[in-house]
Amino acid sequence: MAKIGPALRRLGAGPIIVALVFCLLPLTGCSEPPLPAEVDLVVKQDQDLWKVGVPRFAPREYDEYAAALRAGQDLLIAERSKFLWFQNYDPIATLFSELIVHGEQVRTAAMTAKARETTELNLQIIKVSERLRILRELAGEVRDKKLSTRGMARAETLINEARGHVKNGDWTKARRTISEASLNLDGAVKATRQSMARFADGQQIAHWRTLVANAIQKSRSSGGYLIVVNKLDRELSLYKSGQLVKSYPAGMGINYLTDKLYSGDRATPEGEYKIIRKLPASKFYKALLINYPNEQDEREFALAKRQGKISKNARIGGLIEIHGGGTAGLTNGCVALDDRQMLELYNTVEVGTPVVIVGTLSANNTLCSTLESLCNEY
Amino acid sequence: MKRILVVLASLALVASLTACAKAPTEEINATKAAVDAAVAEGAQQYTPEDYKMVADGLAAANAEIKVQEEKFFKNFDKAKQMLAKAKADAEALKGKVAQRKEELKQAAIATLAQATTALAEAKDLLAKAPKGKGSKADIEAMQTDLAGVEAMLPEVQPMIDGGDFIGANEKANAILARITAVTDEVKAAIEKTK
Repeated sequence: MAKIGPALRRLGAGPIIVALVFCLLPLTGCSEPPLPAEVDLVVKQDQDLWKVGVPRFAPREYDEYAAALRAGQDLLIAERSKFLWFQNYDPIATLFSELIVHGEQVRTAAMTAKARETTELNLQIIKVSERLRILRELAGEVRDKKLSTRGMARAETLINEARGHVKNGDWTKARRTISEASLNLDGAVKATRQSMARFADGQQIAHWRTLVANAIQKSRSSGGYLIVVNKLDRELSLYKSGQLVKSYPAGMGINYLTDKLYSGDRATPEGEYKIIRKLPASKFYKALLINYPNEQDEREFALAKRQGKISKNARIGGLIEIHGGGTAGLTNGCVALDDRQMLELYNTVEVGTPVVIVGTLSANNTLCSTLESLCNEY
Repeated sequence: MKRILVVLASLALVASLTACAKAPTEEINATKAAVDAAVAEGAQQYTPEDYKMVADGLAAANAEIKVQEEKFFKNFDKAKQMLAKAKADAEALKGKVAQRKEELKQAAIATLAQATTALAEAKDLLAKAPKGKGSKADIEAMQTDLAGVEAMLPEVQPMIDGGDFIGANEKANAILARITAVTDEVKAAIEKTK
């Protein structure tokens, strides 16, 4: 020790200070002060924002927040890179406090957007579901096969699928699925409208009205009975001397809204007919056979064959009756009444009684107005 | 002469403290590759929360590297530890994503199989349903319904094959729900005829 003292004195104080500084510098650089608590809070906030789907629900706002966060982190890096003695985290703490506020604003914006979009999508689902319900109700009421299409089943399934996408927060898929459901429903409505166009055709309805009016006039003149079948209303009306005596609910086939053209089409014919035979012991209680096909039917059948609308092997068919058996079932083109009412009718009318079968007498019928509303409302 | 020696010794000390620490380039690249692999597996889509944690881990390691690069006395030990953790997390995430995808895939396959079976049962039930006067119209409508839903079934498998397991699951579930509804209607129609 006695020898070191003089040696140090010979070197001088300068180098000793330099050596000490270099020895101490690494030691001071190793122990950074703790970062402001706000830094960790922002990191956690960002992860939480991500967790609740903020980047998906408010992408623009989140991008702005993320950019501000990146800028803040760059400042933090710059500050941490300084010598310990020159580090000042106060501005960083302030900046990250502002970021927390910014993050909460972004969260609010995202949650608002999520609620708004979810509500909007659910409203769209409700709209499509409502259209579907109306069409299904109409199909249930009218019970014609043209109103029950695959498009409706597809639309219904797609609506179920869209609900799942909304629940998952997958708006893109939800929107696409709702749109597809709506298109399928549009197709079903369009197809139904086309096949049911006669029920919205003023000229056709006027023709049906004329047929009935003339028949009532004849009944009035002759004092005889007249049977009028209104297909859309599923109603059979009995007239005497031009006056309505009674109306009965009537059942028909699965394709009853179409004018019968050939055997097996399960359609109910339209036009002027008459009872040609009374059958007291029919398969369906009692029956009144009408003269289908009449001359008009034969002309239309021949024309359809020539035009290739029906098979060359098709037959025109026959045996169209007003019979018992109940209105709930499906006929192959006949008009069915409940047995008690059939008995009443059977006992009232005679062979030769005119029978007029028409599609509808109302220009603003249910079918037409419902389909119109389905097209116009949405 | 002695002073020169002292200065040289000091410079050597400084050099030893600064030049030895180099940015852990290999570790950075390896970690990035692990994160990219997790992303390619579908981490952002299937496990977004876990992906965010891993991405943040990598970002924090990068920040630490930047800090050290700016320092006079560099020390990348902490950054290396952070990178190692981020890499391990990314590799675990890749496995987790694969597992989640497999679960979703199996769920979609199971729902599709369930829907296919349910459809066959519904068709069978419909074929056996008495087409009496009271049920014929309903049965015809249900047949159309089932045909409409049946046409949608083949749409599920391509979604599974294309990796859209969530979408496939939703579609298969929706189809199954519709078939179940029709089956219930068939049962009700049969009940009506009794």
